[in-house]
Amino acid sequence: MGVSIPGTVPGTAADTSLSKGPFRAPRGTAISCKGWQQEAALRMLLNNLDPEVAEKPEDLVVYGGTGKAARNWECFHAIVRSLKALEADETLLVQSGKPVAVFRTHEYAPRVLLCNSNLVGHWNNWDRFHELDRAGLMMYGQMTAGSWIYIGTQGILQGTYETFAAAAKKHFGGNLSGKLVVTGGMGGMGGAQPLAATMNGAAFLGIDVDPERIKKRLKTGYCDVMVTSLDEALRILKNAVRKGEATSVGLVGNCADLIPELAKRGVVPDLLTDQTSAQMQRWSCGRRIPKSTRSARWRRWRSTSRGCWICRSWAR
Amino acid sequence: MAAMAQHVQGMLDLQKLGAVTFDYGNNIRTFAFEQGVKNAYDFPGFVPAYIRPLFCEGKGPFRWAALSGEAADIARTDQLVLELFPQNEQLARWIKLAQKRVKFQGLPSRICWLGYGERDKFGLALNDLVAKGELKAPVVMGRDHLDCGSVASPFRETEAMLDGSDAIADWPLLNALINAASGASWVSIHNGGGVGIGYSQHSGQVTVADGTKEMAKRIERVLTNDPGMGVVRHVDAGYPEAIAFAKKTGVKVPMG
Repeated sequence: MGVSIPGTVPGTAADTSLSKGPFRAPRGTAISCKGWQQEAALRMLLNNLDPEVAEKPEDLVVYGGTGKAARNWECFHAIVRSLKALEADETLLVQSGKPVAVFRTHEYAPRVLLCNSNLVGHWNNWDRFHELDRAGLMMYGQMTAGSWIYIGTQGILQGTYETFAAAAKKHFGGNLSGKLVVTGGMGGMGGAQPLAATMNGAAFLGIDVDPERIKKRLKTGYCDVMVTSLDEALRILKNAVRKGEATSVGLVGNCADLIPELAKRGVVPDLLTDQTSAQMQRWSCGRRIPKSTRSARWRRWRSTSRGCWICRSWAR
Repeated sequence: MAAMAQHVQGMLDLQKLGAVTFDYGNNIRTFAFEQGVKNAYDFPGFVPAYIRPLFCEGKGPFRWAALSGEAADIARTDQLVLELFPQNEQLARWIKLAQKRVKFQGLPSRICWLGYGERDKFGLALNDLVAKGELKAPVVMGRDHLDCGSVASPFRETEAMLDGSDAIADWPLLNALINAASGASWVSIHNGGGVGIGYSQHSGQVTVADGTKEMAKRIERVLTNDPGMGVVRHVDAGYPEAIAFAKKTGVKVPMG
C-alpha cells in the first residue's frame, strides 16, 4: 500500500474551495472517486499540476509557456468535484478547460471527453484565440497539458534518443559508437541532445552561445564537459571517436562562426543537425541570436526573448 | 551574410563533404532560404527522414504512469518491456539507461516508442500484472498527441507528406472518434499544440489498466486501433513501408 498524502486532494483537509495549491496526485490505493477510471483522471489532472512536473502550477500552466490543465481555478475545482461525483456509466465533457456537462453514457464509454483550443478555420489564429481567451471562453491546452498526460521532460530525452537511434540505424549500422555528432542549441528542447547522443554511443559536440545553458546540462549529468575553444573540443572528441567512447562536449560559441569553421578545417561530422531556437524569428521574437555575446544587442535579445512561447513549446 | 544564413551555409558545406545532415524542427532552413541561401532545403527535416518510417509501423511516444506513486511499480513495468520484446536492442538500451539516468517527476512514469502489435501486447500484460497484484495500484497508459496517426501539423509532424496531405485534419479527428468508440478512459481533441494556434490539429487518449477483464477488452481495442490509425494514415498517403506493414499485420484498409 502506498503512502496517501493528506491535504493534496482539493476538497480535503486544509484545502479551501478556491485553493491554488500546490497540488500533487494522491498516492496509494485509497481513492476519493467512485472508481479507478475516474480516480485515474483526477490523479493525472493533479499530477500535471505537481510543482515537480508543471512549469507554473500557480497559473495552471503545465508546459510550453501557456499550456494549461484547466481554464481557471474555478473550473479546476469544478472538474475535481465532477470527477469525484462521476458514476461509472457517466461521461464528463470538458470544453477548453471548463467542465460543461455530465451525461449518462455506458460503462465502456470514456469517462471524460475533452476539446481544447479548437476554432473554426477562418478564425483559427492567435489573435482571435487571445481575444476569446481574455474573455474567459477558451484555454490553450498544448498537447498533453489540457489532456492530463504530461509526465515531465522524459519525453524530450526519449524523442531525441529515438531520432538519433533511427539515424544510426539508417546510416551507421545501428550504433553511433566511433561517430561524431555535431549540433547547436543546448537549451530547452536542445538540452536533451548530449545525453541522447551518448546513450547511442556517440562522440558529441553541442555548440551554444550561452554558457549557462551548458552548465545546466553539466549539473544534471546530461553533458560531460564544457569547453570554450574549438581546438580543445576537437582534441577531446577526436580521441573519443578513435576509441569509440561515448562522450559529450558543450562548446561555448556561435554556430554561425563555428559550423563554417569546421567545414574550413575539413572536420566533417558523421551526423549534423541543429536545435538553436531559430523558430523565434518566424513566430514572435523576430530576431536571430546576435553573433557576439558581449554586445548590447545580445543582452537586449536575452531580456526580451524569455517569454517566447515557441522556444518552450517543444516539451510534452 | 546574416548569422542564420552563414550557419546553414556551413551545414550545407559539411553535407557536401559527407556529413549526414538534417533539420531538427526549428525551421532554420526556411530562415536561411529567406536570407538568400537558395539551396537551404538540400537537407531534410527530421520527421520525413527518421520519424515517419517509425510512424508507418504505428510507432510513437507511448507512455505510462504508476498511480500508486511507487517507483517499484515502474521498475516492474520496465522489466515487462524487456521480457516482452527481448529482440529489440534499441528498446532494451533505452530502458536500461532510462532507469539509471531519468529522474521521475511527479508520479513515476516511463516513455518508450512501441508500435502496432506491441502496444496492445504490452497493455494486456500490464493489466494482468495489476490483476495479479504485482503492481500496487492501476496504471494509466497514454501518449503524446505527437503520434503516428493523431496529428496534422504541416510544419512538423506532417511536413512533406508523399501525397501532399500535410494540412488535412480529418485524421486526428477520426483518431479521436475511434478511440472513444474503442473505450479509452479519456479522449481529447486539441488545436495548436507545439507550433501554435491554427497550425496543428491533434488528439490524445489515455486508458487505465485497472486489472479488470472489462478493461482488458478496452485496452486491446484502443491499443490496437490507436496505433493502427498511424498505419492507415500512411498507407493512404502512399508510403510503401506502411502498405507492406499493413499487409503483413492484417490491418484492414478497404482501398489500400
